[in-house]
This record gives sequence, C-alpha cells and structure tokens, in this order.
Amino acid sequence: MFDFYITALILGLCLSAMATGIFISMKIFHIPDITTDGSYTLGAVVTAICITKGWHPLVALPVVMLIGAFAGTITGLIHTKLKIDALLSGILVMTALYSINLTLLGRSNVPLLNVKTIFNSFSFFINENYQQLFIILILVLMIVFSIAYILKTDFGLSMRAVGDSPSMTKALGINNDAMKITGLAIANSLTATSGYLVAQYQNYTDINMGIGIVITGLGSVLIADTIIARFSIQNVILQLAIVAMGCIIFQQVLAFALTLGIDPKLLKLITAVFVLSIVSLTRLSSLRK
Amino acid sequence: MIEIKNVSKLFNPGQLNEVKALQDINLTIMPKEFVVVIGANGSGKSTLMNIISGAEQPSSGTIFINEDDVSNLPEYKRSKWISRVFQNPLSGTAPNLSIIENFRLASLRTQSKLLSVGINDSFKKTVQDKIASLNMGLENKINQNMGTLSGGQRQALTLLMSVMDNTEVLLLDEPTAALDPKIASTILQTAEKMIHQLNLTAIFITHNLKDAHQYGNRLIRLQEGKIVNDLNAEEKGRISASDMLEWFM
Repeated sequence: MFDFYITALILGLCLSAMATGIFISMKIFHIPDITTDGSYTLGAVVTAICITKGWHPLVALPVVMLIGAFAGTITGLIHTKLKIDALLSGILVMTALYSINLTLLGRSNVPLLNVKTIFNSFSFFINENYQQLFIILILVLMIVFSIAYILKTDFGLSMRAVGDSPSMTKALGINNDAMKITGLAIANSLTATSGYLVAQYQNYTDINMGIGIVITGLGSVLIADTIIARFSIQNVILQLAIVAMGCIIFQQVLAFALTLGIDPKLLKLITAVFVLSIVSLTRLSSLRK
Repeated sequence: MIEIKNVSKLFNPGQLNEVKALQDINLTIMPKEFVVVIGANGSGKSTLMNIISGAEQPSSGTIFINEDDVSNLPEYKRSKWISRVFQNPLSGTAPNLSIIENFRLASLRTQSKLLSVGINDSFKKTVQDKIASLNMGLENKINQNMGTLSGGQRQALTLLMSVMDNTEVLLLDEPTAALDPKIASTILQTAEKMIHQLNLTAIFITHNLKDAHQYGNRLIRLQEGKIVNDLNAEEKGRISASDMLEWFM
C-alpha cells in the first residue's frame, strides 16, 4: 500500500520536468502546447535507443534534451513563421512525431530490462525506493533551480515579457518570434526529459505512452496556478517548486482513485474529469469575486 | 535625424475599402526638434508614427534614421534608435513583471539580453532615484507588479523607461489621451524636460490643441494623409490654440 503511493510520488517527480515545460509554454507564452504528447514519447524513444546501445544514461540525457528541443523548435517555427495557430502547430508536430517515434523505435514496445538506467547506475541506498527517490529528487531540484535561474536573468525577463506584453517587447528590441521558438524548445526539451525518466523508471518505452500526457501537465500547472494565485506567490523558484508539487498531487489523486478499486481502463477518463473539475472550480471561484 | 522620402501607405489596396492613410509624405526632422503632430481622426497621424517605428511597413518610399535606410527593418531592430510611449498605458509595460524588471528590460533596449542576472543593488538604486523624480511615491514599490499600478502611473513609468537606454528618437503617440489632466501634465512636462536634457528628436501626436500649443518647437498638421501645415518654432509661437481650432472647422 505504502509502495503504491511511493510509486505515484516518484512518477509525479518524473513528470514534474514536463510540468515545468508546460508552465513555460502555458503560463509564460499562453500557448497550450500539444507537441508535448509527441515529444514526451520522443524522449522515451531516444532514451531506449541510447541505453540499449550501452550508452551511459547521463550521456543519453543531453541527446534526449536536444532532440526534444528540436521538436519544440519545429512547432515554434510553424507557429511564428507560417502564422499557424499555436494549437494546430502543436497537433501537426505531435501527429508527425508519432510516425517518427515508431520508425525510430522499430516496433511499438521496447523493454529496458538488464540495462544501465539512471536509477541503477549509482548506488546511494540499498532500499530501491529510497535510491530512486533520491536520484529523481536531485534531478528535479537541478531542473527547478536552473529554470528558475534562467527566468531571473535578463534573457528570462525578456521571455516572460513577450507573453505578457508583446507590444512592449517589440519596442524594447526583443524578437518576439525568436523568443517564442526558444521557449517552446526549452519546454519540449523538459518534456522529453520526463519521457527519459519515466521510460527508465517503468523499464520500458511504449509508442502510446504519450497519449494524453499533456493533460497531466496542464492539470498539474492548473493545480499549481490555483495555489500560486491563492497565496499570491511572486518568487519564481517557489512557483516552479509548486508546479512540481502540483504534479505530485495529481499523481497521488490518480493513485488514490486506483486504490478505491477503480478500473484502470477508466484512468484517462478520471484524469480528464479531474482536470475539468480543477479548471471549473478555479473559474467559478474567480467569477464569484 | 529622421528623413521620410515619398512615403505612401495604402490599406486594403485595390479593394472597395481601400484607404490612402499616407500620400507621398516628405518630411525631415532634425535632431533636437520636438515635433507636434495634429490632425483629425483618420488623417494618418498614427500611421505616420507606425511607419517610423516599424510597426507598419510603407507601401512605397524610404525612411532614414541618421543616414541609415531603415525601411526594411522590423520594429524590434529599429528600437536601436527609437523608443516609444504608446497611447494605451497598458501597451508599454508588462503587467506580470515587477517595476524593477520592466526597467531592467528597458535599460537593455539597444543591447542583447544575456543569460545573467542584471538586477543588482546599484541598478535598483539608479531606478529608484529616477522614479523618485516623478514625486508619485512609487520609488518604494519597485518589487511590486506593474499590473497593480494605475494607467497614469504606468504611463509615467513608461516615459522614464523610454530613456533608460541610449535614445535618439522619442515617439509619443497620444500618451496622455486616457489620463486625468493632472497626471497628463506631469507626464508631458517630464517628457519636455527629458527631450531638452538628452537632445532627443521627438514626435508627439495629440488631439489636445492646448498641449499642441504649449509643447514642441515645430507643428505639423495632417489631413487625409498629407501634410497641410508645417510651422517652425517662430511661426508656431505666433499662433494660438484658437487659431489651430479654426483649421478643424
């Protein structure tokens, strides 16, 4: 029983990289980036290819991040240069990525047993749960701190301002299109990192593992957003930490639903209803003000 | 110096709703000139401003800033010379960034924005001193989000932000149209002082003939996309606001 929640906690931490990415695309640029479904699987696919070839997982990570960033760049280029709606650009790239992922992987499912993963390459604890938790915590902390640092730099300020006031940024010498492309690249690079982590945690890569994952990310960001607005938190590091926490809460709720004996087939339905209830609750409470 | 040569701007060319917003405009604005532009709605004032800033591309003609042909440069590249204060107080600032963060970006208008944290104590001090000169009590609120301030406060800060980095040309597009008279006069007086102290070339669009009379050392009136009056400082000094009103009758 306890293990069940630990699993949900680790999974939540694995997915928090993606949630951070969604925070950038959704909250900074106001773009609901559907590319996520594709780039998450892409991250897992590239991870499977690299580590089954015997590469060290830490060498595979920058490769995964770069390829994820590339997917985001394509969405960004389609959106800004061809002036196509951001939602549609994401859907187009996500659809194309399905074929690319299947071609790269060669088949629909690759097990990652008896290979070196990020979780078994180092040994800090004998207890497997603690070992995994420790490694994932270090990685997530590194991600949260580096993204928070970037958002505080002059470059990060420009990025935040582009989503906030595009007329101002143009007048201040900022290339809005380039900023959006860079933002989507960073977001998808983080999403691919989640694919990298989850594939190694569950010991397989599956071509369908990304379906609907963007909803998980959006749900986590919305949970976080409610908390951030409720306590009017301005500190970027805290905001990102809460986004990661939102992701954990989300997974715990799903784990709780499963312990209630709900059919796993209905998990996606529950996810959708859960996200809907968060969105509608925040809407309703803001209407009442 | 700004040189506008044979600039025309058509909207919806060839269609029933074609609009000739600017028709073969020729205009040279020298350094230190503070040009006030007046004209009825639809006379082409804002289009002229947008053509200079790069927000709109001319249908024909060329624009030079200090002998550089900028006709094909997008708005964000022209910001190397030009800073702007918009008509809408909300357009010139980012509401979810703090005051100090807005000023930081403004201080880098002509420079690249790097991966390093630029807001430090000395920067904060500089900004606080500048904000204090407005006498609005905003100098102690620099960590507050811009969105929490009123339109007038934001517009006053936008004006200060416009000269945080080196500027040659200052564009003021009806900056006080949405504001109450008191804050409007604070903003225009601050603008006049800045233009004088920093030797800026300034263009100021207004609908307020009193302001048009009081400020600037050159007056241009547009009508149907053409310059119909162009008065130098001496000529401008001789006419009154009511003389200007006659033009619109």
